[in-house]
Amino acid sequence: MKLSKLYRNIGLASLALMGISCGEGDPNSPGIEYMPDMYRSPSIEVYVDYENPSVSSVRVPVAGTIVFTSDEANEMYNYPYPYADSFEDYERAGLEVTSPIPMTEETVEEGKVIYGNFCLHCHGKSGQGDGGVPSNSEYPPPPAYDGNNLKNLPEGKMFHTITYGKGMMGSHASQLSKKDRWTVIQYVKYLQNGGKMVADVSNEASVEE
Amino acid sequence: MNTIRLINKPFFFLFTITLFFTVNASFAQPDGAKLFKANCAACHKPDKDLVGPALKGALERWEGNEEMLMLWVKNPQKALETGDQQVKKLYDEWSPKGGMMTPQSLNDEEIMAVFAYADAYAPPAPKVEQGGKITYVKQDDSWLWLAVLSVLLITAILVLRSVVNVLQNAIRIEKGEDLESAIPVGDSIGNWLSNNKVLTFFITLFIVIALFIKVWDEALAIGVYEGYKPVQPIEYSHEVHAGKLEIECVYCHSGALQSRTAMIPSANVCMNCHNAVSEGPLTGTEEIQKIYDALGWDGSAYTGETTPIEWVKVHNLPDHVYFSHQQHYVVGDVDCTECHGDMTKETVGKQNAKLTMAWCLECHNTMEIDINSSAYYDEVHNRLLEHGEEELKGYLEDGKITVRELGGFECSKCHY
Repeated sequence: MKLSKLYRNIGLASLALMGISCGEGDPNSPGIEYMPDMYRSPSIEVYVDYENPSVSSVRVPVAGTIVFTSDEANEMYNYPYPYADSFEDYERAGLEVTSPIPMTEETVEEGKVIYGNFCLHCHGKSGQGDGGVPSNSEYPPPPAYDGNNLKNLPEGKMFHTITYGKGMMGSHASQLSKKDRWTVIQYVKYLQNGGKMVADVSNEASVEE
Repeated sequence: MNTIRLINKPFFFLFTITLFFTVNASFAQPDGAKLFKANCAACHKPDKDLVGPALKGALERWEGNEEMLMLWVKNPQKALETGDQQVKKLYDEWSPKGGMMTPQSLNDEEIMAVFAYADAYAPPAPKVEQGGKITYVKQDDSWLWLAVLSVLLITAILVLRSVVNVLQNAIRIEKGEDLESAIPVGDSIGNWLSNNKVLTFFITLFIVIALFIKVWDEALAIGVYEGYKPVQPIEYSHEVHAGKLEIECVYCHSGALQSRTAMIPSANVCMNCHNAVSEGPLTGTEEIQKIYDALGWDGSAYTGETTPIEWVKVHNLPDHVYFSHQQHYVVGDVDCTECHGDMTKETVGKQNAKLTMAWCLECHNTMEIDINSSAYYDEVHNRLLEHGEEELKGYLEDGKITVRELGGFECSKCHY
């Protein structure tokens, strides 16, 4: 009898344990945490709610903040863009703003990578406005780079458009640095020219200087 | 040669005639739909206002002033300078949205064809989505059914037992024997167990081993959040955005290109498309409205009242480990799917990998490095040539250089 009681107790205990360990379900709970202090960082991490307004991790910089860089070659990209988001300044930018980056095979290649990440899904592989978004949804297609409207678009207007957006296109300033914008423009110009390098006299001159 | 020419002549003639008529036909009747798509569709819709006004009914609106309409399409700046009242009204109303219209190099006929297309335009019948809404949260109800089933089985056992007792007693009454009181359930199980000791031993052994494996598995899963997919404030769908619409991962998670974190995009990135798209294929306007509420967008302007979207963080690394997306994605050229799986089939964010140290090292151990991919490796290479040519030869023995051989197993690579 004693033995049987022991067996019985073991059996009951195992059933109970199995019942507990089977408890799964709440998708909002990641699971059991071992040593919570190692997961809760004393240093401020991104996207963590510290339930304290004075400790917030992702913040908008103060207006007018300029990125600091000790790299003199890239310093110019951090200066503010002096044109406002208006039609007049769009035209002005078209006349006045020119790329600090020359069009070389290297910059076109770099621009192609950025284009693939940030432009291709709307403007399409060769800039015809046939990317995944307008092709697979009701979203209106952007005009083709080598079509009537954009064939002769100056690079200053391209820069202004990426910075502020135009028409259906939104501002991409938060995703692309000024250097990225100028780099991708080299590839856009390449597509605008029907997939050929543009012999740009002004850029060549500035390189020689 | 002559015969060939003779044969070819009629064909050539026919070809020329056909070509002439085709070209002539296209000149005679410009294709309004095609012209609209190529020149106007970026800002106008035939039947709805977009960046510019709907083109349907434009001819009616400009009746008696068609010449000015033509001038406006061809050269808006010049049309505005004429001081025409209708042009001025149009400009004042729409320029805050889209600025000045782009001058169109179309002739009068082509412009008329576009307006004719817009006037005749009928929207396509709305597509009926098959299958209805996607369910984002799967409630696991299987345990409830198991519980009900076990209650039913236990009841059945007890009922059958008492039936057996009643029948046994009936037999005893028949035979004229004394009635025996029923043996308690616990004692009867105990009796059975002590009568079948070998079997009991194996059952117990099985239970203990199964339990041990279960506990072992559970213990290994402590702190491992593989498959963690919390409910998010917005029922975002990666399937629609990255899958159907083919948007690159880094378009939204652009932090992966330049920082540790891949970033949840700020809502202004959503608005690059959603300023115009207020209705989605899965959840209608409900979820997209949450973006507008967060940004204080009333459909045409920002009110300035913003509330943050409180996303739930999915991937949590302990404090004592350092991981950088930039280093892996940009320098290491590791594809997003290697760690995050195929997100084009997922709704909201999900932890696909274990994110344990063993999981990291598995990859560090075997991942080959493309020495030519970055100038960083030139430096490493030169240092090795200077200080340890033997060491370099060791690396090249098996013909490949892995992350491990360049220090991917050193503690301080990730723990600092």
